[in-house]
Amino acid sequence: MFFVPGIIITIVTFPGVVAHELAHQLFCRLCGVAVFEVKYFQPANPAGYVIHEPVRNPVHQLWIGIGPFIVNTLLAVIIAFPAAIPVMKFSSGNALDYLLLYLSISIGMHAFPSIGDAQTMWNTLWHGEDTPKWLKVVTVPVVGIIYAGAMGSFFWLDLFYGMGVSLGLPVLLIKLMA
Amino acid sequence: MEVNDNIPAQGTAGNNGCQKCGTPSYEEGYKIRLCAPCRRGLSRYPIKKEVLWAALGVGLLVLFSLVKFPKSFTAGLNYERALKLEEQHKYMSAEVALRQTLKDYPEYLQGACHYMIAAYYNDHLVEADSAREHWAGKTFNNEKELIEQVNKVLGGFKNYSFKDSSFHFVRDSLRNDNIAYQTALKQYVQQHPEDNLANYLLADQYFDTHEYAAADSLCDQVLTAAPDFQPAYSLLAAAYREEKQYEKATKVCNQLLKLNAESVVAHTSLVRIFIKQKLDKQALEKAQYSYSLAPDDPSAMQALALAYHFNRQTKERDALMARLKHNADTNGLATLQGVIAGTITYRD
Repeated sequence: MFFVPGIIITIVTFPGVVAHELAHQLFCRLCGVAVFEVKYFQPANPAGYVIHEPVRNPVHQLWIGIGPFIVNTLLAVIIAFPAAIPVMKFSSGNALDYLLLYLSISIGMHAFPSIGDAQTMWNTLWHGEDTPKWLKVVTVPVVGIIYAGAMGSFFWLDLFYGMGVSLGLPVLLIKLMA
Repeated sequence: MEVNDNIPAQGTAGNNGCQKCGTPSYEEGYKIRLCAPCRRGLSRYPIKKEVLWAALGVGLLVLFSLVKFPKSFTAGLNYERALKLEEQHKYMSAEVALRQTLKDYPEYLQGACHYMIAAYYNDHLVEADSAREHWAGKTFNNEKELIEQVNKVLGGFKNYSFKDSSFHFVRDSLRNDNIAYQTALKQYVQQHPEDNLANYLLADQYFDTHEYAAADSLCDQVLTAAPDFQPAYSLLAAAYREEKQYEKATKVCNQLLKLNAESVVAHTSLVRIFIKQKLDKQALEKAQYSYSLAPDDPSAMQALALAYHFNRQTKERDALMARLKHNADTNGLATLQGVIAGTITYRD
């Protein structure tokens, strides 16, 4: 295992950061939550952010928080699918295939919500007065998984997830369909 | 994602209305006072044009890539199916699927290896040999099992040539003189008793001269030395069949089916055994199955025509006979025509 500074990884995989923030923004729009500022990418910490108003319905906070996981994963699968089979199965990918796989892995890598996202969710949902009990119960494992994912990124978990979604899933699907 | 309790850009709002536009009525239940139109407007925060253009570009790239997607998807599906069929020893279907894969990805080394294996077990030696063309200058080390299988097949190829290659010329020169050929073959076998091809060809000669015991003894010898040498199975089954040892003949066919569950030779041999036993319906079912495996294979066509004949389906039989007459491979056709015409008695 080798260490690469996070900022370099973030810069190299900037399409994933853009998609991540876009996903937060999309879910704000779907939930009717006012957005005040969006930064899609900056070579700093945080690499991107969406500033929105406090939600009225706590469930909306959960959706906004996990939005990137849904959107980035779906995008990664869709972008990778046509490129993954020639590259992974037949070792005959062209430049376009490799470009799409780069985009897909970058986007897949940033599917996990950030620690900032987890903190916001925790503050809003766990400490929220209006949060129903079931949602608090749901919040604990979700936030736990996000923290575990953040720690796992030190061991390249985010890269493995991105590669799994982009390269592994299409191949697995073909195996299952055959 | 961050939550902000304070609206960053307030409008000309008063203290009691919408913090953005000042409208007195605002939506209840939110920490930030906004009227419904302002909240809707802010929730539709504009996406930067650069991001939209980039998304459009990626979308176009994906669309462009999707053009070739059906080809790669089908090829991948065919390849995976072929691997599963190969595990089940269904080499005929595996060969068809692999041929499709290699049509789209002819340089795919693993695909060529599996194709060679499938074609070999279907006794399609020319096709199996052609797969080797893809290997020039290529290596792969991570598929030990596949390499072992390939080496086994390559070893099996040796059974299809004489140990003393000069005998190929002798064989070719005596093609039209059967007696001289058999004599030469016997001499060669005496000199090279371990030559599987020569033993098999001599057994074939014995079969043609109705010396079935000698034929099955030689076939047994060949199969002990080379259990994958498929032509010996069908000859042995035929010898037992002509000796009316139907159980033994069936057993030999089943041994071949263990090697290749879709062996056309094994299935057509069983058709003939069933017909000899007057199990005509079973023969027809088996013949139709072997024909479905290889509709262009003359032996499958002949077996089906024979089964049609003994099941009195003359119309279907004659249609197949018409096709057979136009086929390049007419081996066995004269005998079949004799059986149909009644000049050859096929069974008691």
